[in-house]
Amino acid sequence: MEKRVTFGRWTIGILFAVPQLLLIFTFFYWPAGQAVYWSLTLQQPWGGGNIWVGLDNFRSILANADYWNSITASMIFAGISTGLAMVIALVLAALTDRQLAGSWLYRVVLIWPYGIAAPALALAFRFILAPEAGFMAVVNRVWPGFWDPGLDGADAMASIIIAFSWKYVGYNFIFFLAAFQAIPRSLIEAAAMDGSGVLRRFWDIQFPLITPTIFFLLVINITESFQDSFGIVDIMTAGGPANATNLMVYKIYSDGFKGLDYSGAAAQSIILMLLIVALTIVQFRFIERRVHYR
Amino acid sequence: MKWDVAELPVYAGTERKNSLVGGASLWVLSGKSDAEYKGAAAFLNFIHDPKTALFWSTNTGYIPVTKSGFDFMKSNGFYDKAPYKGREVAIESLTASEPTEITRGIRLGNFTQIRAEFGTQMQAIFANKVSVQQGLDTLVKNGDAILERFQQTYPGKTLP
Amino acid sequence: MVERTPILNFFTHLILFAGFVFCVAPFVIVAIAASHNLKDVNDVPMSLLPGSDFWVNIKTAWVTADLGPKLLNSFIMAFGVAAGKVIVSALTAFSIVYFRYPGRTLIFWLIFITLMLPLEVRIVPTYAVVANVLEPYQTIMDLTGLSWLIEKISGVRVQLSLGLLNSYSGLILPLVATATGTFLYRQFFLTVPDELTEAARMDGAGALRFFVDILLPLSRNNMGALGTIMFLWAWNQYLWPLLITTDQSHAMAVTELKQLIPNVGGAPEWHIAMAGTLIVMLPPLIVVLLMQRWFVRGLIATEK
Repeated sequence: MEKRVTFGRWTIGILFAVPQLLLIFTFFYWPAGQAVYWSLTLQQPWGGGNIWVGLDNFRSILANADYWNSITASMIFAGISTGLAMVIALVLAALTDRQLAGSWLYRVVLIWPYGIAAPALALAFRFILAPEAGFMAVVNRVWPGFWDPGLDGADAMASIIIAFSWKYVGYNFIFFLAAFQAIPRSLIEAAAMDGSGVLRRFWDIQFPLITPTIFFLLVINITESFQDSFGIVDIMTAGGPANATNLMVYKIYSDGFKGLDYSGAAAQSIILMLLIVALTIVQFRFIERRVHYR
Repeated sequence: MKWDVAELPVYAGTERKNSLVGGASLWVLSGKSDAEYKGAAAFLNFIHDPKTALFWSTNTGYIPVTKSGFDFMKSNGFYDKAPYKGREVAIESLTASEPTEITRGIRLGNFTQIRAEFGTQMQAIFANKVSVQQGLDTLVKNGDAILERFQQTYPGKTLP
Repeated sequence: MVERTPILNFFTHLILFAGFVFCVAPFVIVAIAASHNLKDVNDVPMSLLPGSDFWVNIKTAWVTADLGPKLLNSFIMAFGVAAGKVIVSALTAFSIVYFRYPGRTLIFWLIFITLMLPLEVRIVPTYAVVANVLEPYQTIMDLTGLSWLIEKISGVRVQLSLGLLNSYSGLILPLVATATGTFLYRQFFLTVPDELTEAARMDGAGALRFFVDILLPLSRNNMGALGTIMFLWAWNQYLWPLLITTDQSHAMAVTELKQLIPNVGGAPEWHIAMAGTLIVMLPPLIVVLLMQRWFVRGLIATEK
């Protein structure tokens, strides 16, 4: 879409865009370019020089079992937490959309978690899920040793998944509810008139009509699980035990800032960037075409 | 309850060696201006002063870094009463023997990465995910890889 | 609804209520834990009746993590990011919607791409840039020979250096440097009727006049939505402030929470930790409550 009426003096027009362009050049394109350059060199930790190594950084990362472990952990985390957050939100939104008495309450309350900072909710869940105090301690009284995120990698992974899903249920809920409410009532009422039940209507009318939202949220949730997980991991598990929750962004941080391996961290950043770009392209191309719009 | 501070026990028949020193360190890098070196020297003099050691240890809980600092604190009666009583054991443990090749402290390239790797493998061992031998083998392998990477970053250089 | 479904209605209420509990329980547990003393908070199971130490714990957490100045820092940063976004994106959207100039499509795409790569994945080099924001320009001048030229002519060696570590600008600017708001405005500007622009031009209003007097007042809803979202987003930032603020005087409330985690060997002071968590959770929660309408609108609009 284009404007028919515009202003003539295009020099002034460019001036309006200059602040944004300066910002993204300085804080986006330059660092992104820098990351590419670093990933192709070995940077000395305290400055002083670098050596061109071509694709060696990528080779050594892709040959590293710890890196693959980090990718696997990220995938498990993304898969399960996205699934949980989306299914719970979908069910809650579909039911809220039935607009029974009191549904305003859910519309108000269910989005609270999304407003909370990841580290703050992580600290809350660290207490709630602590093996020695809080609530899992009760379970541990009954089955000693059942739950110990400090020692058992699966428990630690479960902890960060619960914390992340809790936050994103609210987010998904907003979008699902908006999508449900955009479906014309008359459509559903007509189907009801024809004698189709609630479940039938859900699968035949509502669900197909919200598939664009589902795919949109799928991509957003997976992307966010790569980024927004940092605070949760840092507060709850610090990547442990034994790297069980060393997600990709956390590994970039610990290799780059704690280990001072700028080049290795840059190469990992590039791989993660490619992954996110690929996801975004999938969202724009593939999904927008395949999913039938209303 | 009666308890006290003591050095780590050693097996009967083994000789006690000094324990490894760890923690942060101060470095003066080359290639700075004369004025900066003057400042650095003044700062090191200040840190080196026994009176500074007393202040430092009292406020941070760390050990004094020099022998003279320790002697000064001892003669001042620092270690005689609670809550500082027993802290002299740390010095005894650190100076239990002449430092040997493997106990004189670690100076490694990419040390923080190797230390993180150490932590990871220890966690894997204690969580019973791998056997002790497996964990140590992986640690050696990964540690060597990290060292090799350091060597590639600084080709042709040796530690002074 | 259209038909009577008593059984389904029962289950609807049941499930929705379960969802309600799922969302609210953590808040309640945090608040209750924050009211206990050291012994009660570590009881298994912890009593769900509030204890009497709430204000004492809040005060301890406040002092231990030095939350007063930290909250102020968080406010300045979140407000700065929100204001920056609201202003800069409006300017840019105005430029790409209301003007025709060579390279406009290129600029559009340059901005669009920034949506794809969040700060988290380019964090290390961004840190390096913030350590000296003029470094990109210095490098460009060196590479193009401009520095050499200037040195030849004026005898002055160009050494651009401006470090923004531990400063509000360093905290805020990189967070403003994405395109989130630009597209929100663009979509909105495109729906503004052309007749309005024509009328304004006929009355002799220039671009700036039209922008300030007509377009901005029309965008109030957009600004509210974008501002709310960006305020929350910035308030909740963790990795970036963690990296670039080494000086305590610039630390944020969210990053300071780490100080309150009970550490190994210390007493398990969960009551203090939870009191701190509660304090840090509260401002964004209040914003969500008060700005609910804008928050929801902003979320849906910025992402689509």
